[in-house]
Amino acid sequence: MGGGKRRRKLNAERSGRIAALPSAAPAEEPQAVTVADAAPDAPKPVPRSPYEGLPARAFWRSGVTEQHPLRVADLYRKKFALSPSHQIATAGSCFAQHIARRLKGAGYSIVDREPAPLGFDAADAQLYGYGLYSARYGNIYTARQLLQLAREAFREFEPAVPVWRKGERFFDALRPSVEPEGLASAEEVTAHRAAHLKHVRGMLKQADVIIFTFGLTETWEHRASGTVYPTAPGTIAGRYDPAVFAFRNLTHSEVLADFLAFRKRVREVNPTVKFLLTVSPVPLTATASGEHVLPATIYSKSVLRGVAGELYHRFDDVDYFPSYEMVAGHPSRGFFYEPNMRAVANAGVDVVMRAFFEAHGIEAAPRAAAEPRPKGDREGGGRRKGGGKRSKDDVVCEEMLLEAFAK
Amino acid sequence: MRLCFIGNSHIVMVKSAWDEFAKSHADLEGEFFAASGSKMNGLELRGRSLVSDNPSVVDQLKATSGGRTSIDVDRYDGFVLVGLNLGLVNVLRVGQDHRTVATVGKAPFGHLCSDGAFDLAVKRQFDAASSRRIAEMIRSVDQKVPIAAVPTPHASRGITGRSNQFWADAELLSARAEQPWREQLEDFIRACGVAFVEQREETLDGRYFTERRFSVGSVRLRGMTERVEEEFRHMNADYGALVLQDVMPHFGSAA
Repeated sequence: MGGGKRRRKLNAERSGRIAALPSAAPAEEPQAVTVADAAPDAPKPVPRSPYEGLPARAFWRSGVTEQHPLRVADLYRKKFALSPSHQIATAGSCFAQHIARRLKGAGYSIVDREPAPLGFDAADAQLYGYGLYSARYGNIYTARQLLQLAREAFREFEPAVPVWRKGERFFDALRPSVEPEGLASAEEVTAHRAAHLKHVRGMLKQADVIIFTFGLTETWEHRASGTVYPTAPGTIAGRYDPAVFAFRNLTHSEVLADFLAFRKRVREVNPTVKFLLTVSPVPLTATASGEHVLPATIYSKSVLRGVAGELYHRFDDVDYFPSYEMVAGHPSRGFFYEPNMRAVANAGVDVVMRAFFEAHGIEAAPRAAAEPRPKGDREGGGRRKGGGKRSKDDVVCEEMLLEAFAK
Repeated sequence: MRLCFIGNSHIVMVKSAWDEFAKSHADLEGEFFAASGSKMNGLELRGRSLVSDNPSVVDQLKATSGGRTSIDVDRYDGFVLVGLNLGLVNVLRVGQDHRTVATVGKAPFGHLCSDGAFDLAVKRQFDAASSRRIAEMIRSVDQKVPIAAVPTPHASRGITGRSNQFWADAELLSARAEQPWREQLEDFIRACGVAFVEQREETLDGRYFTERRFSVGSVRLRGMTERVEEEFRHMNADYGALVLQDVMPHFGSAA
């Protein structure tokens, strides 16, 4: 073979045909080696390829193409078991609300350190941020917000500008959506926050398992102190001053470092706690990054998925449940989204939770008829103008405010 | 005139006074239906009658009415709803676990809540009262029959010494809950065309308690005979007689 021909062949291989080389490519079909194939004392046969003998789940064709999209077999294998005696705490963006609600429905012990007042129905509770998570912190979109909350609960952090004002009312800047009308004074906000943090502290000490759903990388930060907020100042309350607040899009290493610090701090007071991570499949409603919202979403979700993956591979006490892949992965063809391609339909939650329950040996609980949909997720949903009572199917999300602001 | 008294345990104060009252009101006939606590919430409207499928409720209806198991709306010239969780005292339970910053008080509690959440909880408690539900059912089949609603009386002050420390803050919580409770009451009166029979001033000890003399010797529904000297929440026949005096004018009958 002349030099030119050899170069052409190499180029062709590099440009795509190299995938056909047996030594580099996984077999298309699982080539299981059975015990019966080998004599008892015979040396273990060396597979022709490291992909030989892998289970069906390792191959795209058998693991995905040939699977029913609503019931992909063996997609998730639990790292640790959840039992009804475990105290399960939840936090994060909207998907954690779904998981918590369904686990509760299946008889699991979901920590609720701040229950709703007597007589509240589900819609009332949602309006005031009760019952969404294990304490009344509202949506926690970023790992930084989660870390900040834990440090504040353990009195190691004091947020800057903790009270936002709107007219004559005062809002907790770190959870502005839990009081729809705000409170009467800054002092009252401070008193409520102190009471709330006591319950957060208790929750972090009490939980056997913390389920956290990563939602966003984008956040709003107090320039001088680094305090992050769940919503942009000026959206629900407060005033946006670019000299004081800045947009921040957290990187993989920052998100990873934040979660590692959170894990370390919680384990100091609760050494046996385990973490179950998910990534929210709900896209951003708006980005302040300057990019188009689609690549901004993909960046955000990719970072979060990457961090969750790294944590999962590094630590025995961290499990990852692939709800993100199930809903947002292209094999689902967007089927699990509402027509706006952002909100996740209840049917999607059903499929995701069925996979979760099957892996944990739980009989899936039927969806509660009056199950309200997630509140206040900046990634998707809306807040009713005028604060009227919501129907059970409303999605109430801070992010809809962003859309309103865009008009 | 045939009146139908529907209530929970508080109906006993009225029943205890009724026989004496009826002696001087030959034109009046009263029939009583009661079940304890919130059990009357188990009543449903079928056709033009209030009935229940709950055997315990049926048994109590039978026992209190002298054999009847359903309330035929057309049989009566008027309805008196007694207690049935319609009282300021009934919404105070909101404060057992949730307090606003202004109602922290002395007794331990679980959670601070906003004024908005507290008001909403009071309204929800009001709406859960059997009294409202029963009035709505009656009204749905008869828009004209007079209905009077007698609230659960305030407890007598002795209750503050009970082991449940919550009662130590009853006055504070009553003052805080009164406005949202009254707003809901106005709505109830307007929506259901109900005559509300206020607790008499002369029975009050302060603004939110009932004079001790009205609870001494009161009888609770259970057994209908047991007199309880240390009862603070149920009132006696003296109180019931005053209630009857205040109720009757709403039915065009002299007290």
